[in-house]
Amino acid sequence: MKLNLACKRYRKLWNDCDSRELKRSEQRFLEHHRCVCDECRQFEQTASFTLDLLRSATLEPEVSLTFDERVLRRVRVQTVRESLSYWSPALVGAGIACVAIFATLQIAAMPVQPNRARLPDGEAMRTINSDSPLPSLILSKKPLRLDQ
Amino acid sequence: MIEAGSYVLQPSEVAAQERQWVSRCRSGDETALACLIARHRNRLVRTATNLLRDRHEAEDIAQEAFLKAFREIGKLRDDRAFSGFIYRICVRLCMDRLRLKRAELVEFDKSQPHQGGAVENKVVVEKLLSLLPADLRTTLVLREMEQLSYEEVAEVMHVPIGTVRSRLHTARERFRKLWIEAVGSEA
Repeated sequence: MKLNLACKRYRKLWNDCDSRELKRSEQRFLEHHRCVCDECRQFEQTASFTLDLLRSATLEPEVSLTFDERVLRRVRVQTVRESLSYWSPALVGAGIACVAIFATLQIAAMPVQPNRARLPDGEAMRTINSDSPLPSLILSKKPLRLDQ
Repeated sequence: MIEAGSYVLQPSEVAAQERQWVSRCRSGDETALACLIARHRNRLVRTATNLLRDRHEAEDIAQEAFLKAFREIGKLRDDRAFSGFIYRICVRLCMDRLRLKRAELVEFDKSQPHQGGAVENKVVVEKLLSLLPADLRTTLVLREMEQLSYEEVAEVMHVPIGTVRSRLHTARERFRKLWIEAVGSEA
């Protein structure tokens, strides 16, 4: 259904009268158009009826008795969570530092054990023989013992 | 005016009291928190129920609104503005929830004449409202059911007043058409 300009203006003004006071000329136009246009009269009836219907369907709920308690409990949980999330980077950092210190202390306390696999099978010894002015080199093939 | 025991508080005293509560709330006073909840819960639950048409969901949203408000209470510049602050949060949460919901298909029995009983009216309104987009629905409910002024609706929804006017016009017209379609004949 295509509305003519007068009907459009009527409907706009009908809507506007809720938000502002209409001018006299606008009020006269509404009254006049209401008398001459059946469609707009019907529009006004249905529009008023549906708005009344809407207002009559307003709900007035009763808040449950435990509402306050539940909100307070959730606020407490939220506060704890927030403080945890605020302090968590510091706590993680402190944890990492503790582990690092503990590991360092453990390593420092361990006795030094040379790697047997890397010990040479023998050693070269330079000896000075009293008979000869030149030093001689003796290669011992006997592996070194750790307690030596 | 609000009655506190036998003494009736003046609006200025109510505002001063609320300012104190908000300030104490910032420092973590749980008694002040409980006082703020007690003062605002009915309004929030009522508005959320009318927007969502579900009491349990409305209570859930009202709780969320309180949590968010207390979490962001530090951002509140003026302690006197707490009432509007929490109401805006609640309406926005309701709008988010409405956007997530899918519009339900309305099925009316057109062979049965519309009786117009209070319960039946509420069911019809609920179904018709579910067909409106969240913005239009919220504007319509805040104006017609919650009786807020145009300025208040604009402030709560954070839109210009002209937008409220045009949304209301569209929402009323759509609601009217939906009702005609649903019932089958004009009243």
